[in-house]
Amino acid sequence: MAVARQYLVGASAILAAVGLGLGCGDSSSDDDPDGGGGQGGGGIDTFTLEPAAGGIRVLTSSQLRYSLEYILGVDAAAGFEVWSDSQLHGFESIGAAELALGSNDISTLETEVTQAVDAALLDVAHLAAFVPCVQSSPDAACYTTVATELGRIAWRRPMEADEIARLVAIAEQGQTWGGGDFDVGLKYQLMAVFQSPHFIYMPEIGEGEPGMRVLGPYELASRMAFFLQHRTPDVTLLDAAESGGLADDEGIRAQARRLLATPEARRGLDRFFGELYLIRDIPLVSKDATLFPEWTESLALSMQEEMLRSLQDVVWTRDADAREIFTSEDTFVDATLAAFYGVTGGGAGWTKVVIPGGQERFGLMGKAGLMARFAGNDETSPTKRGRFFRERIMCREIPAPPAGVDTTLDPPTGPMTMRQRLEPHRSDESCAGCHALVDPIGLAYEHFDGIGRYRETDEGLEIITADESLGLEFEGPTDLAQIARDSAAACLAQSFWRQSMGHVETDGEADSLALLEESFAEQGYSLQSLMVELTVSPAFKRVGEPK
Amino acid sequence: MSRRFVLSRRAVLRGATGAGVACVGLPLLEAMLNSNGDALAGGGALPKQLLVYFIGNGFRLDRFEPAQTGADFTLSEELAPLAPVESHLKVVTGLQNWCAYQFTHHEGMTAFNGYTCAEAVPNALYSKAGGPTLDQVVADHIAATEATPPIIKSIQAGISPKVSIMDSGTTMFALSHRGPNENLDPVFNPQVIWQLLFGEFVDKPDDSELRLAVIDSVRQDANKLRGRLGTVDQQRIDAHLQGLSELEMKINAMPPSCMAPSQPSETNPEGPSNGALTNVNNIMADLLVKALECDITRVASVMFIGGAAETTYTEISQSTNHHSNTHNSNAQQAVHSGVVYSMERLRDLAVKMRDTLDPTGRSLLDSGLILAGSDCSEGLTHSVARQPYILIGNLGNTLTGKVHHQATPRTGTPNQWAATGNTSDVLYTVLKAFNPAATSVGDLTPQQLQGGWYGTSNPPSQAAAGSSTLIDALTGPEFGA
Repeated sequence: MAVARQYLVGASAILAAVGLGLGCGDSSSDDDPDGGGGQGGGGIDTFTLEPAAGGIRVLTSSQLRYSLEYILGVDAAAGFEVWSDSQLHGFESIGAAELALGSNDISTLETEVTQAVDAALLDVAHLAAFVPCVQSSPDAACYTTVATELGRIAWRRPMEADEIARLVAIAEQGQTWGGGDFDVGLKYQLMAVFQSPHFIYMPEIGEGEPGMRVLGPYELASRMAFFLQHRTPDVTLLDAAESGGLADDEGIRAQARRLLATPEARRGLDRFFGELYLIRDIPLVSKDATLFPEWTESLALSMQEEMLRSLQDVVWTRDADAREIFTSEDTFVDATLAAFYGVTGGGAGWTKVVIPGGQERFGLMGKAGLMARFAGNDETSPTKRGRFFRERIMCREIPAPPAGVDTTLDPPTGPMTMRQRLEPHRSDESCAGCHALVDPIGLAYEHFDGIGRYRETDEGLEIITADESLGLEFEGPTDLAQIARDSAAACLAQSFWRQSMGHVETDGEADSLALLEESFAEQGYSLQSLMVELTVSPAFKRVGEPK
Repeated sequence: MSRRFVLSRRAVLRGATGAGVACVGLPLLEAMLNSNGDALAGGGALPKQLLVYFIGNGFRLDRFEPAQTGADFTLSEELAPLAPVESHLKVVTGLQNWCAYQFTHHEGMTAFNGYTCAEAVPNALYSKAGGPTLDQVVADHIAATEATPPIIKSIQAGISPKVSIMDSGTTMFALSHRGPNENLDPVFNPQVIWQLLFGEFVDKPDDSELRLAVIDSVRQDANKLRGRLGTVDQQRIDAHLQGLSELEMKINAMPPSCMAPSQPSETNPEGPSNGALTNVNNIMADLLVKALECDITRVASVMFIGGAAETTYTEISQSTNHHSNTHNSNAQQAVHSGVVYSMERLRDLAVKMRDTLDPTGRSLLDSGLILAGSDCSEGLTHSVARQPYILIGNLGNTLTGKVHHQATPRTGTPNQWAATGNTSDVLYTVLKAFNPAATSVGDLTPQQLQGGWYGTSNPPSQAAAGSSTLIDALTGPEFGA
């Protein structure tokens, strides 16, 4: 493990030291004996930062595809698929920080890069936007230009002389082999560029004091771009890194805001939510066709789109309080979903509507797609729904089921509600400990059947939604929406933290995370602001020793 | 017998001189054998192959474990599909898996490596593999000892792309691991498997010198980066460097002189339905068996369905996923049907190996071995007591033919089904069949047992997941030779 030194300083000292300058109402003034201005968590009267270990992260398959899309063009990158991205602790970005590539991955990388480069060379116009000489003056000097200029974009840092020489030598060897054809030399040069670990891995090593290393401007640019755009930094960001534009927080914020205004940021956030809330799974869910003949891939795709549009509405269209994700009664429907939810007004495209009639569909947990995802093929699953609520909305761990336990529910002897069938989870001591954490929450959503349809009754019997679960008391989805709202800020901040930096938050980062949560609150729980402020967090800009 | 092979001059040299030609994979040819046909002309041993096959979520032990033990046992209901390969079938039952943690599914994977899972967070259903799986130990042994190792060290395929959404970490999502951070995830797309195995050998301009120059450049980049990293990331770069070496070897390899299959059209994307499992299994089996026959690789793993995967066996008209069925005591007939169905897919593969003969008339089941198993014993309880193995193949007579070895009789009710011994004894026996010098498999250090235990009424406080104990009943006349 890396050796990390701990810094324990007064708040004003750290603010000065890291140039943080809270800016938006300084709630942690030294004059305030409670430090944090009395705002929860005991405040921050001293600030400790022990950055998480540095090292390398491998780019995920989609990060590589989007990066190649930027550099080589959309057509060249289409279908680029190299390895399966393993999630660790719920995030592919954490897997990317810890796991190695296998030998066959390296072989597949060569195959895929070759295809992408071949496709890019069919029309060099896209490449020429970065290195005009490939079109205007394809001569020996152009190989040096490509190595220097395109190399800098692909490797996300200035090229060193020996690297340029090596890439030029490969190009010349290729040109000779290709009978003098410039493009043949270019092909092998690009293959060397895009198979290189300097392209495949993102180093976060920094420099400076042991245990408190500061990311260099190019490393910071990469961390920002892969977080905010899910791809390699663009030329503007690299230029900012080169010219000192990322040397202070205002410069970083300005670039972060610029990146967030791009379509790539929206696509990246869709991916993030797709992973966090398992939205990406919805079209893959299968249902018992005899019980749910309505369940089709096209309905599932509409449900997936509904969830993404609802999130986009909060984050991008309105830049609203992110806690609405769990409380809003608005949703988006196309014609298929309008009929499904029983609302009028669904036209040819997508329409924002309020679901009428006391269905208690609030935010994420009210979405049919989520209810369908967390259910069985043939019935609901209060356990899965409750577990999702605890883990992904409240960020709490749920104990695993004990080994060797028969988890079968007794067959219904007559009409029984799911609540009645789950009764053994409460009465059996070996089950009750864990199921008390999740089942009561899930049972509150029993008005939504296995594909998320509203139903008045279960097997013709009354559905009871009121319950309590370890200190949480609720009448039903309305109260749970408020409970979700209360947990949402901290859990969202934690989730963005993990995804953006590729590790589970450490004890040494607790103050930095708390500071981020404070700024999230101060800025009206705007997720755009959260993402910007994350990039200027002291922990975002620093790493410990390389792992 | 089909005679599609073309004997090249370099192939003859290889058989005659062993190390005369480096890095060449070729099918075994009569002309390469000694006069007895039991070794290479240069004195090397005949190749052996290992294929690990995984079927998640266990069995119905009462309908799986044969009633008799020894060589003359009758196939049980769930083993009946394997009748066509019965002469090469070994079944091992009644052993205990000693993974230190018990949190369902994860511990069952210990049966393929003999290491307790690492970084286990049972509450989050999270773990990493504790160490290299048997297939990787064998692949390393072959690579290190063969003068002319196969072109590809090992390959990993998967049939059903559906995986568990409740579990996390690496343990359950790969059947092959090289270490806690080196999971070799299965490839579900047959086109990618084809590309990895045969793509190198299609007709195209020979740009190998340039590709090697690129690899050399990439290697320099990797070493430069490596110098700036800590030990954990250095290991990751080492894995990358190993991949570069293996790619280099593939580029240098002479094309095998057997006929490469054409690229399949199937891509096996994940979708809501799983209708095509038999077809995908057959396509993968054809590719892998051809690769074994051509000596392109000698080690492969196939994950039919993963543990806790949401795969539904729609081909046998099931509408609830197999894993859910295993947990439902009212759906145990469906579980049984699902087990039989998956055994038929294992059979499909085994029959293809049985029917693939080398010039001496040896089949791939004579020379090789399929080691099949699951991540638990009884699907309903998910217990790892009595976690069984199915071995199909004799590994050049280092293993015996047909036998049922039962370490502990099965008595009482399912929650009382107990076990003794160690599942890793099977791994050790197989490893020693490949490498007579092996002294153990897995982790021999006793670990504190944690979590709820079942099947064993008084579990010891500590146990080692690894093994250095042979199962003599499995060994054949050539064992240790």
